Amino acid sequence: MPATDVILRPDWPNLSEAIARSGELVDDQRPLNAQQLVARCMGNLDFAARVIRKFASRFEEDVCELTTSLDQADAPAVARIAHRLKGTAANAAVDQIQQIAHTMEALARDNKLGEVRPLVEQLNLAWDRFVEYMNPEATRPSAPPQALGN
Amino acid sequence: MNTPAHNPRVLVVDDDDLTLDMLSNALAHFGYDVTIAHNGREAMEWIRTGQYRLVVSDWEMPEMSGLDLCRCIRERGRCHYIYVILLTSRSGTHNVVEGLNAGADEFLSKPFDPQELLVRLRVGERLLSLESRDVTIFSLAKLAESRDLETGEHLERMREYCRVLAEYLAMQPKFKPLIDGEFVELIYLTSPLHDIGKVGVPDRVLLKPGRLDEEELAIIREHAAIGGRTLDAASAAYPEAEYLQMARDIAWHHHERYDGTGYPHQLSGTDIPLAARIVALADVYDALTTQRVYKPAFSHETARDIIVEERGAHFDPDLVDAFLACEERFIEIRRRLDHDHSQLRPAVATVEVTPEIAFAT
Repeated sequence: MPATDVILRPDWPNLSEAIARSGELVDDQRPLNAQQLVARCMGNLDFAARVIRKFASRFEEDVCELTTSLDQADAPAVARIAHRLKGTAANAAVDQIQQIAHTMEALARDNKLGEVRPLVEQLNLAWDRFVEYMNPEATRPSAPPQALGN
Repeated sequence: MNTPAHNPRVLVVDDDDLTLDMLSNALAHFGYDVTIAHNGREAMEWIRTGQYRLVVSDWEMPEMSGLDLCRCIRERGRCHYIYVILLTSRSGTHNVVEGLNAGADEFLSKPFDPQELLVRLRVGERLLSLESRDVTIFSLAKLAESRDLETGEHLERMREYCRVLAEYLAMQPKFKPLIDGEFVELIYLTSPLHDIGKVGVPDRVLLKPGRLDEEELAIIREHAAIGGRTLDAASAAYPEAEYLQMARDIAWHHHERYDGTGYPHQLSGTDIPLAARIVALADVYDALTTQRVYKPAFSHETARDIIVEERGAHFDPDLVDAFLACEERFIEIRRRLDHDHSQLRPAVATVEVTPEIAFAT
């Protein structure tokens, strides 16, 4: 799901619910480490929600730039964008995306762009898991139209 | 007033807006005043204002990296110290060495942990406060010296005597709980401020060459209260500064006597702060063994006899015992730091010692 579609939802992200659900998952299956994010935001849920929205808006731009740089075989640019994405994801405590971006950055610095490209798909899958985790009701196919807030 | 004059300022440098927002939010939560810069060059502009002593900077930034920023900060040289924490996702010894070589003081892993950030900033603040402390004490000591009829060597000898006594007491079971290494260091630093209140004594009294009358003696004795009140105010404004508390105790009480007949509060025994009891003996020993406008220098032996005579009267008996145990070190300090000592020595044997002469003020 495109990031812009997600962040336009008025009820997104629902951090309180995400925090409540986070105890149900083990660390490496949890798309968002909500407790860590909220702690880093000094307990301010509104601020943490702004951080998530900022991350979401950047994610789409970064993936777009990343794909373009891969098409141009521009390894330094790929490394730079992956580094930026890694930092943003780390700040937002979106651990899985952070880890994939970290691997991409390392491969790009070693000029192994052929191994980076398959990771873009992993990145998108991780993003979809993250969005669904953040608001499972809104991402169900049967969600009523009014839930989209349009 | 029990709070510092202002919140500590922190300059946060990062090319990433999200990191800047999150760091600013956490630092504001901890009570810091935060200024942000988006790159090293912008940061240097802020640093040149002289308002920032704590910097948290990203390592990798376009235009000027965190390492280059560290180098620029250290090249300033002439100004006060700036504590720099580098934010990095890098690990490995070579990166740490590179960062330290560039002038970083600390490292903070990305993504930052707020509690770790706070702890590292507190370390920086402690280090900076030591620099501020030394500058403050040096300035006040110079001010005190400007109103002291004796030379700077008097203050130098006195602090050495105080250190010797404190070090000895620190090894005695009775004083072990009261005196540690920090106490010894603080009394060495703050004892030269004992007469800071003399800045408030008029010249006609302080510089009068002859004997002082009762009214003039009362005026000069005011110096203890003047110094005490001044340092009281400073200590109240900065309650975390232990050195100000000790300096205040010394200024107020270094003329108290163990038997309660001193001034300004007629405190007695252990009601007199320990630091003040130590300074009292060191100050009198130095006054006795050096030439003053109202008396020649007495020999060490004469000074020792007077001090022993005053055991339990003017001086804390434990301090007198400590003095006797450390006699040789007192003699050595006097030999090393009293340049007029050898010329004065022949005259001292002929002087009749009276309490009036021995304890002029």
